[in-house]
Amino acid sequence: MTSHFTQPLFALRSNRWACAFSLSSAALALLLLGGCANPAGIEPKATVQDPAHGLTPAVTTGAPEWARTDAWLDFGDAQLAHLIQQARDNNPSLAVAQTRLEKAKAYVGLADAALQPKVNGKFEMDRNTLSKNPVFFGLGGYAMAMFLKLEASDPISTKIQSTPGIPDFMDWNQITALPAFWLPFKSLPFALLAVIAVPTLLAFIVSFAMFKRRVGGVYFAIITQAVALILTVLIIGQQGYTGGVNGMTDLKTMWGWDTRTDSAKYILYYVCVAILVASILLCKFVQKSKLGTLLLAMRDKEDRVRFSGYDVASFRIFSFCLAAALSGIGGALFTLQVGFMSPSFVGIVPSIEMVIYAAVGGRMSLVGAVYGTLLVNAGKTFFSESFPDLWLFLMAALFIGVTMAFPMGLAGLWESKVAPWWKARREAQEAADAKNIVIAPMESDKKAALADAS
Amino acid sequence: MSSTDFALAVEDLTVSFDGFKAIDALTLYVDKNELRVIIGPNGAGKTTLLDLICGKTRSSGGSIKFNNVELTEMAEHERVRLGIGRKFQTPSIYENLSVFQNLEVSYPAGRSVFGALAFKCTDEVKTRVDAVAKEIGLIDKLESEAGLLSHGQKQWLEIGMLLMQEPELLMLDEPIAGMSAKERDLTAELLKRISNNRAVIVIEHDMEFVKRIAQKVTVMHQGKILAEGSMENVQSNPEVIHVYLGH
Repeated sequence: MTSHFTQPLFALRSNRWACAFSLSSAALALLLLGGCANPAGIEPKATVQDPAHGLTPAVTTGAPEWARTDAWLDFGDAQLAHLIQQARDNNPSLAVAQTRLEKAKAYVGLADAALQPKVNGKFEMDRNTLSKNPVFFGLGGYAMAMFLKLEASDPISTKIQSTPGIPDFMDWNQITALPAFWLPFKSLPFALLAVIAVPTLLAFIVSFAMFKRRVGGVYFAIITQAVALILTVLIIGQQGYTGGVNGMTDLKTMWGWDTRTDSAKYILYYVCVAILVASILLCKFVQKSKLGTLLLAMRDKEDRVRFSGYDVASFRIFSFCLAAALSGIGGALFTLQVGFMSPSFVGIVPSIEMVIYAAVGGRMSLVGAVYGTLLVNAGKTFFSESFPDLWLFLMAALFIGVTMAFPMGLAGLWESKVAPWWKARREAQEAADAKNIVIAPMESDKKAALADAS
Repeated sequence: MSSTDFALAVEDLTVSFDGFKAIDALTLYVDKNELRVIIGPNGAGKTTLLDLICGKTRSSGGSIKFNNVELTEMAEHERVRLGIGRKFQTPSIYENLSVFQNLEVSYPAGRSVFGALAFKCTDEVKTRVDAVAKEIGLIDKLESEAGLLSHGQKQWLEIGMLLMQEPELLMLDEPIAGMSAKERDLTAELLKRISNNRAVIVIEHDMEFVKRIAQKVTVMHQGKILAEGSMENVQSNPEVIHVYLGH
């Protein structure tokens, strides 16, 4: 069990934002920086932007005098202007703030990972199959990344390569022509279709093979984890085709639309939110349908469902495939948000993390998985920034604490404690209101009676 | 024999677990509209026989025909769809669902994945649920969680779930286990009513109960049929007495 807590160290360090913060063990970080891809991924995030970005309406003419942020230029002192500029450029807090912003946005993308545990956790509603599998998240992400990478690798911007027009990592690996399986990813519609179809197809093959043979419980979890590991090894091993351990970096535009700008990030954020809401509604629909009832029934008495004339395996396969499709969409949105995709989002560690999101949020709740994801990632940010040496232990403590204190997660806490308390409070309030209403007419009756009497 | 008028025709059925023959070349015919009780000492293979008929266990040899359709190679849910219902020994109901939902889920419509997605609880379904709930005496409990029912009510609910499917062959494994005297009376009445238009196989240990409901009794011993006939005949059979009373 303890090995799980050491593994994320490696995985997270290879994320570029985590790299920026891993000051504590510089040696390890340096060692892994190679895995963090080009430095353009790390630093320029803070410096590409004008440091005064967002503070400088004054540059435009016609802005009110007080709004200018370069008033010192009026002194005509070149040295002063230079010093102020230097101070601004090198202001670490500004750079950190910018990086933090980037990081926060990246986590918003990660929130979509909630789709994964949500679907498996609630839908499948079967703790045996609670092995959240990031394979499908990763596949969706890679499908998206392949399209974006091809668009970023146009012959003009890659003219320094020995073979212009192919992704840089292929050129580095002495590949001289685009592999055949990459060709269809030049088309955005195909890539979007692949985002859903590829994970769904793999999910279908895996789940068909297993559920038809009634493989379940621990074995199912082991096999899905093995698939995750196999895929990670495959991606890392086939560096020329997949970008290897670095993944696919420097993704820039989608059909000419620059996804790296602040406005694009906001748009993508709202797209994420909209799709998240849509998928929750879809899951709610399935949950409310007879299929949802059957999934609940299966968890309780699988044999009874089978001997009521249902092919249990086909229902399991369906929910697994639906989960995979939603995860694929999550992966694609993640890639768009952060501008890269790497094998560290495919393996066993993210899979365990996704289980934790669901466990914290409440594995029996649709919405629980969403706020579980947000909470865990917020915790990750807070702990890693405030306690760089201790944060993994603090995270572990959070997970252990939550699962021990509220086994049904925060959603369970809400349902068993907060909601009844709220209901009781409201009922008490209503009772009190009712009393007041009863009393009021009596008062007026009395007055009327008095008036009559007089 | 290839074609029969029987609802169920089991011929030369054999199943062995690691060389132990739990069912040994067993042949059994059950008429349409017959209520058959199977009795026998523990380990005689009674439950295994039901498992083989409904598909929970695969046979090693022999044939099982239901309305002249061979079942041995068929998946469990396909056998159910042909009209075979099976009640398990311990009440097997969905404890977390309401009584209504338990019955609704058992309604034979929307059995495919997309069928289940599109399934609507129509008035027809509701009428059927009400009718069955009346039959099993749980009409007042429709909204309660099935897990909160008494043991006897759970047994009835499972029978009700089978009735929802209107099976032609109903197999009940110890339906009165754990029931009070009054519940046994009610169950006996219920069994008589529901066996009017279908074949019913009941496994039971309680001889008093068997006497009350049985038309024909089959005695099993060591995977084979020891005797078959009316309760009086079977009870006076020396071999049966020997098996039950020991040496």
